[in-house]
Amino acid sequence: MKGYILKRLFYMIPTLFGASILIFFLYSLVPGNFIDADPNLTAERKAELYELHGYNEPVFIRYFIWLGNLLKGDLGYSLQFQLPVGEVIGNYIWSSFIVALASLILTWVIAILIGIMSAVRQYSLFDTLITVVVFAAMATPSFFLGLIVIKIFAVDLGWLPAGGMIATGSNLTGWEYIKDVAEHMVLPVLVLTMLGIGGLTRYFRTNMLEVIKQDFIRTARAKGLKERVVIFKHGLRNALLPAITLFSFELPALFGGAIITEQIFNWPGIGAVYMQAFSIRDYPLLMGFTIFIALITVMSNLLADIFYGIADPRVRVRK
Amino acid sequence: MTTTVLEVKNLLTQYHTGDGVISAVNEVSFSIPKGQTVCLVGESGCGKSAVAMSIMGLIDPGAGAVKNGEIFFNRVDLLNIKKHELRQLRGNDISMIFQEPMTSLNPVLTVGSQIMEPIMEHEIISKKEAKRRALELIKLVGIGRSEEIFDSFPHQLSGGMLQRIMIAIALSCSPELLIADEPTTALDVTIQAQILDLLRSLKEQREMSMLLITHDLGVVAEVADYVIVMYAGKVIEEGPVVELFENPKHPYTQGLLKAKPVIGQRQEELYTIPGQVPNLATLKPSCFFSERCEHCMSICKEETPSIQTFDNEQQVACWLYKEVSIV
Repeated sequence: MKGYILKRLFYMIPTLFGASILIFFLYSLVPGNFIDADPNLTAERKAELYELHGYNEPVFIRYFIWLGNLLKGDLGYSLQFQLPVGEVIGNYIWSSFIVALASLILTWVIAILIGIMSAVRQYSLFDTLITVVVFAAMATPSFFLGLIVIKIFAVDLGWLPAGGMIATGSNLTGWEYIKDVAEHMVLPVLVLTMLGIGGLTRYFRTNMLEVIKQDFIRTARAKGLKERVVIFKHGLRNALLPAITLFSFELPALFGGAIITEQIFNWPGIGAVYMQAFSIRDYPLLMGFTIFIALITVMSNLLADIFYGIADPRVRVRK
Repeated sequence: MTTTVLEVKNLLTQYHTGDGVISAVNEVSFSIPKGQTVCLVGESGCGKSAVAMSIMGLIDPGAGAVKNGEIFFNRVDLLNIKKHELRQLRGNDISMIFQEPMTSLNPVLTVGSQIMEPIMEHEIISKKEAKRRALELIKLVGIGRSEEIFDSFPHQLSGGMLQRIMIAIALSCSPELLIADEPTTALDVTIQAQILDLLRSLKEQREMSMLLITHDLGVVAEVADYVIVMYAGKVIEEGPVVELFENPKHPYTQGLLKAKPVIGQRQEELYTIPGQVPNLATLKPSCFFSERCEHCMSICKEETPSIQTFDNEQQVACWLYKEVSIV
């Protein structure tokens, strides 16, 4: 197992190398940059800045400089924030992470439960109703859903704040602060959960339907086990196996931020920062963040394979 | 005087299919005396497995249901007891083994935990004691290295071993009745013989009754005390095994016995019964075998023959013998 993980870690190197080439050249070959985008700069100042940020070097040389810095752990320097990219990511990523984590957990728990229930009662009223609701939630765009929940829960009912991460002008500490952030989190998490739940519910319904047709479920019933045990112990574990791959795809999204939802709820997350960086062409930040997500994606894949080995005895690696 | 373990009366089990409602089990009656092996024989799709599933109460409610009849197990009416009472009988007093050992065990749980499961469910017993019982059962079904097998997963074992494990699971709570639904069909011939020997010796040791479902007449000849032949959901002939093999009465039974290859005799072509099993959805009152029968008469196409008993305990549902008895 140890050797296997080492081997897989080694395979990550060429993958990430390829990703770095793609990311760098795609961003570098786009015409225009941060300096050009600012109409207030004089020609001399522009030339100065070009020299300062190394834009006069050929693209190839710039790639290797960038790559060299990456290997030293330096993701670049954000022009917009005038801070190292690593620091910018560090400042914003955790606020995105808590929202993403909360909605990920909610989405999966709800989707698994609903998926199982509609599979067990296939074609029942419950199943049909859930199917309709789930498709409706899936088909609604995030900005629309976001505005609707703001209208209902923040404006009309006034239960929850409409946006931001903390109440304006407050300087709470300790539990009060956590409670304030939690209140602000509710609506974005609700929207993200509603958007994500549709596909996942259908996925678990299909998986579960396949599993409960299997012979070993009949065996479990023939043993006289309780239906709850049959479904959750014998059925669910087998239905969850293929979802491990899906789960590994969701892990990078934990750090990726939800661009549109964060924009709507004015949530100071990395998604909103990423979007801003696009509009003012802060390429070092974009490149640094993208390679960071690439790294997390590759690691999640490895993690998925390791999880598979633990969860499914049939794919356990031979020692 | 032998006691009856299982009694099935006028069982009617129907399934919904694309063609309409079909009667997979049509007015079937039989009983299993204590300690005896009753074999249910017939071609694929004649309702043998549906009988077993009806007894176990395992028919998927979305697909079909028992519509009529009575099933008594030790005088308990299985069709009218509460769900949880039936569940407590399953795997405990009545247990079942299936045709495909490779897919009948949960791939992600160890063999040992799957043997322990019914013991833990039906008996008040510690985990340690259950494990000891499971190890004993693995030895009982003729597998050595029981500790190693206990911790292995189904994919690590062969089909024959898995079927032994299934038998171990079925026997774990010492059932009075074992239903074996084509237990040897998916196994190769040498393993088949071993599994049958195992079933027979265990049955004798434990004074179990057995309902063995098969389409293999070789298996029937080897283990059955009493044989029931089914065709298109109906019992068409039944009797003690010796009588039935020596003197088959129904043309279908005769055909089945003729179609059985005999070792040492090489024929140019094996005998087959002409035609196919009829579509159960489009059956009209008639002898369901009439289409394929070489003795078919006009009455065979108009009325369903009822079952009649002969002196030697053989029973048959065929118009050929009706006339004789009338005369």
